[in-house]
Amino acid sequence: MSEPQPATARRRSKFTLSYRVAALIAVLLVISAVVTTTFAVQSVQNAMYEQTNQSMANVHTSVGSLIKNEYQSVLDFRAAALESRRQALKDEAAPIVAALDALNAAVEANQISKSAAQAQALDMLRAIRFGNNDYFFTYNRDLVAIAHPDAKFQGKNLSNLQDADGKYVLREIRRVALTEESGYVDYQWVRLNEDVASPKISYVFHYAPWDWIIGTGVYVDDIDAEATKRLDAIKQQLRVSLSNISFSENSLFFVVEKGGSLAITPFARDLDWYQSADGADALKSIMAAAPAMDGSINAVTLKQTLRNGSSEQWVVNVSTFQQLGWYLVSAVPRGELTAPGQQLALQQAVLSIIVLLFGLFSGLLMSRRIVRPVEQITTAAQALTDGTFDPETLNSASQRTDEVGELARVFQRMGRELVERERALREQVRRLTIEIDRSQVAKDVSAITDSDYFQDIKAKAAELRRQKAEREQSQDTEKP
Amino acid sequence: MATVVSIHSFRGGTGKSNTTSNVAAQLAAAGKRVAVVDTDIQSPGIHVLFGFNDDLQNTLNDYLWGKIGIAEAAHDVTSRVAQSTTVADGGALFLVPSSMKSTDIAKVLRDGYDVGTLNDGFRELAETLNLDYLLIDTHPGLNEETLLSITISDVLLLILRPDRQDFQGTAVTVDVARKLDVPSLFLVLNKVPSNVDTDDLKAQMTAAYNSPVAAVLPLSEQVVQNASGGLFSLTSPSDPWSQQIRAIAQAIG
Repeated sequence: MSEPQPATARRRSKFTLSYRVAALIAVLLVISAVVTTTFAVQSVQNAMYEQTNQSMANVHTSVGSLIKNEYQSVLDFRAAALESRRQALKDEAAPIVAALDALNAAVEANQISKSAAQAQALDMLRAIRFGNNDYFFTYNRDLVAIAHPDAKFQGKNLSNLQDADGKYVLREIRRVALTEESGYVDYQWVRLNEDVASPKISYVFHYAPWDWIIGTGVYVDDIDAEATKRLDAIKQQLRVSLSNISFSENSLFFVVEKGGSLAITPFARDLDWYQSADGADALKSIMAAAPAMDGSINAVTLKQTLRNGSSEQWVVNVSTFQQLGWYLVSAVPRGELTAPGQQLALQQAVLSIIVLLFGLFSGLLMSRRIVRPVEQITTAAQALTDGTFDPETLNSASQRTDEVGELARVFQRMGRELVERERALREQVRRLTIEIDRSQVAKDVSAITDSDYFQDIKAKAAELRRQKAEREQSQDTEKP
Repeated sequence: MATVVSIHSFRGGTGKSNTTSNVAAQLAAAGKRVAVVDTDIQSPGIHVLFGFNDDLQNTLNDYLWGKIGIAEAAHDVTSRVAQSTTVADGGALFLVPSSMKSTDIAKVLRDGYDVGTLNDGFRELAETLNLDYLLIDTHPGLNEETLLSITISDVLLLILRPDRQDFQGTAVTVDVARKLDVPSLFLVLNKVPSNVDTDDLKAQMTAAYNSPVAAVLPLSEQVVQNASGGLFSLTSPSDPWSQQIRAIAQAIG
């Protein structure tokens, strides 16, 4: 066939069945890969964020609880120490009351005059010392010091005396003694032989028979000192333990004090930056976002730049500790949260490409397996047209068990039969020979020629031809 | 004088009418005055090839029954030829059809007709229309009217197919024609499968019948599909079949 066949021309186009199948597989795989990767990455990132945020929140809760407990132990120590001091003061006062009652009984029994008894009592009160140079003081209702070991107060009216905090100390003592019979008063007082006021608590009571206000005090600055010492020890301990807190690869934990300075520094981090203007700004914005100092230890989440020369965002959780005025800050770089997702995406992409290549390869292979026999059948059909058909060319295709194999078998059979039929036909026609039964012809001819009609027409024929010849002749003679 | 050509076959279905009409058209296109008479009164059909319907008027039947003159039964179909090709100067083609009416056919079968009248008609037609060729499309077989046609023919065309019955029957016809002293006899082999060795067959025929073979027409699907649709040799002049038709026209001329 010299003329190109349309079907053949179309088969040569690049959009063959194999490529279409392969393209379909590729598109499906790519869509599937994109969908699953997007979903997986999203899930991983969400999980990472949730998990990290949760562990940060847990850190804040446990650190908050830890600090609270430690702080409470200091408070408890102080309260207990004060209570024991108070009890001791009360215990010291009991024998004094007993002595005064004895003197007063003697007065009422007229064994001694009231003034003598009172003078004897005041001498006694002024002279008593106990503990760490502790003493008793006695005032009348007008707050004149009628017995005081400190000479500068003896005999003076101290109703207008104020302590370092501006408190009218004696007026408070008189109020407690007169209204409550006995009780405690806290104030600042200058120690004997010292110049600086110190915190002090006093036990005061009203000795009603003589309308005296008697009290004894003890300085408690040693308790506060001890409490402060303990608190400092706790802070020191927290500095060590908290600065080692780490809940992820690059996490930070640090504490900012109310003033904006670092109470506990970020472990092994760029301290210069935190002390720079940028760092101060960052700490300020964290403090602004922090929850109110209301005793709660829950954290608030925010995003913040936290490193020198970096625009990297950190996920920051901040909580407060009211009693110390602390801002507890935990932070983790956002990149750390997104990295696993990105890594997963990369892995997925590599895996997808491998699967895609495999899919393309097997798709091409598979469709080639389908297309090749179809092409063989097409070639065979062309060969049938050209008269060069060889059934053997379809042997491999016809061995398939699928529909294409069925087609190949049917085509092979059809081709064989066509070729055979054509061959038989050609043989038959080629052998075409003219055989005439001469005796039969003779019989048939004589059947006609023997008839009367034939004899008649044969006779007429001679006449007709003669007439015709004459006519022609006359025409010929007329013509010239 | 007109050359009288009888086209005959031993059996029907040889493509006699189709061959007759195409040869006639070729002669007319070559500038000859030609008439075709359909004497196959019992089973007429050639008129269809010239585009006539079955209800046509003024037929050979009307002439034979004395209703009209023979010239009135001649329909000028030159325009039919001119539709497909150029008709040379003087060319004309007439058709004297047989009636397709079933009553007319029944009447012919019942009463027959006078073959003398038919012969007179041929002569009158040739003279009246000043014909160069008178082509007689005969009824298959050898009946009286056929024998008459053969007898008065200048040329007898015997059409046969390549099969045993036609070979046998044609031998009879050839012998009968010889006895009637037909001046010129040609064989035309029609409907020959394309893969037959035609030269060999032609040689066998020439030897078997002792007569020249004017043409071997191939069995053409295109001709079959075109049949009764018009004059194939005019519409498809380059087809091998058409070439053989022209060979017949040449042999007659």
